[in-house]
Amino acid sequence: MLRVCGLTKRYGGSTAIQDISFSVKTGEIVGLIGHNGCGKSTTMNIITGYLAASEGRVLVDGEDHVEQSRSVRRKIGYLPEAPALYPEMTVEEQLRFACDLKGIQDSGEAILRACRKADVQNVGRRLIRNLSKGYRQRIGLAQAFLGNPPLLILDEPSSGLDPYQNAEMRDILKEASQEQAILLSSHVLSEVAAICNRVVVLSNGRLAADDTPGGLRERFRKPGLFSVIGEGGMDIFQKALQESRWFSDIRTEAGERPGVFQARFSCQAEDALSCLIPVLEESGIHLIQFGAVLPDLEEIYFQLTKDQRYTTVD
Amino acid sequence: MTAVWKKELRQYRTSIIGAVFLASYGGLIGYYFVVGNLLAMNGDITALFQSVYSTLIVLIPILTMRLFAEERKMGTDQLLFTSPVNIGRIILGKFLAALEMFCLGSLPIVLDAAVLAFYGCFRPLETAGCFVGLFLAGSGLLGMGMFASSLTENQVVAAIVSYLMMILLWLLDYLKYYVQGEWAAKLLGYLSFQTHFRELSSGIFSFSAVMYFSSLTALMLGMTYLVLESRRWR
Repeated sequence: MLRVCGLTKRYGGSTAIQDISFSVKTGEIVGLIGHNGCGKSTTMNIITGYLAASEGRVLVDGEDHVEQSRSVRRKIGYLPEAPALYPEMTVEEQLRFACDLKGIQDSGEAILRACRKADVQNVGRRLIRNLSKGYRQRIGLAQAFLGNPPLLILDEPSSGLDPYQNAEMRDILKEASQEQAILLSSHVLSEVAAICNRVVVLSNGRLAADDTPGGLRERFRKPGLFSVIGEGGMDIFQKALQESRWFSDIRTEAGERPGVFQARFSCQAEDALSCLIPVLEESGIHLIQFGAVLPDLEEIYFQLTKDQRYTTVD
Repeated sequence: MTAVWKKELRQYRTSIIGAVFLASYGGLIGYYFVVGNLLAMNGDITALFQSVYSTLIVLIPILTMRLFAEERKMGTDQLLFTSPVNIGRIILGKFLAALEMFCLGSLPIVLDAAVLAFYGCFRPLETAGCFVGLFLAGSGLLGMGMFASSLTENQVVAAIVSYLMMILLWLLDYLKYYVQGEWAAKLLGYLSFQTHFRELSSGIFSFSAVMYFSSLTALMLGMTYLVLESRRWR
């Protein structure tokens, strides 16, 4: 649905983004992450046509943004970082205006559907200036949903939302992704990990990674680091591990249920499980789970963007 | 374009700016009419039109200062400029809404003309010429104000820039007495807002004046387009 090819944007002498390429398919939620000033909003602004690229192309549904700008804009629903809303309008007036701008014929039906999708049916007659930040964010989302565009660009959709609203927003986006392609940016990495099928990491205006959360975890997995969840005597198990020549850097902690514990350790042997089985037997531990320790998205993000904050491409 | 035009009219209707403009403009027109025509027992309507111009310099920036500056400050320009409506149509929609407000504000002059006509001082062609002049001059000034508004996100700065541009254009007339060379004086004469406005507001139909104000409006709208379009590339 969206293909971004070699996107570069220069502001005067400095380069905001350089040679960014990625794609988003229908049914996918792609998370665009990176530190402040890394070029997330610039990339989104170029995709929506608010800014022009210095180099590169944006294709939406196979159509070029420069050559078929009008048609491309009809296919995009955009929620900017600060929702583009007129405080002196009522919600209904705002959405009707957005429908008129987009050239949507049956605006009444479109507004109804968008409001239902964003769960804001009950505030139609209220002035936007009187709504809470969370509601404004959702009105902005409803505005992006108008006309059911095949591509949604959402710049920090969960910004300023409380945990309940955040969870609701996640559900809304998951539901929307069934028939739309979604590109969203966020600083909340747990949220990105929870709802995105793929993650695009920008660092210092360049593409640092483009992969699924699982793929990234596998790629950044530290070899030889394992974890165990077991039931039995934690201290006996720890002692047995320490006595074995295969294991080092052992850390244990009690689990949520009595008798259950968690342990992390390094093992240099090729087949870690074969080395672990005798230790388990010796200490009488019932093994619940064993596996390689995979880093979470936050650790990966820190590795990818390390020392790149607040610098420009140049 | 219709969407933007309707939205702007709604904003003028619901905001204090629209009310302030209409009240001040109407009040000043009434004052000029009472003092310059009724109390002075003067049946010449051109005097009223000439007084109104000074009012326009003060009031039109009130109408135009928010047009683009506020959109940019509020971030709502992102909605406009990412929509399928092109920038030219957005400019035109906003301009027509401001022009409509200006025409609405000028309606009391029609009433004044009717009062003078009732007392037998009505010269239809002269009066029509005055209205055309007012409409064209108003368009030019609205274009200037809109251009100033596209330059900044601060409404006050936009108003000040508009005032400066309008005053400079007004003062241009006085320079012709000091420049050397016939061509320079002629050029200044052609560029002079005052000269052309005086022609039209005296009831003289001047093709060059019509061209002058039309070109000024087109130039200002064109420059607004260039400013907004260039922002995408900066």
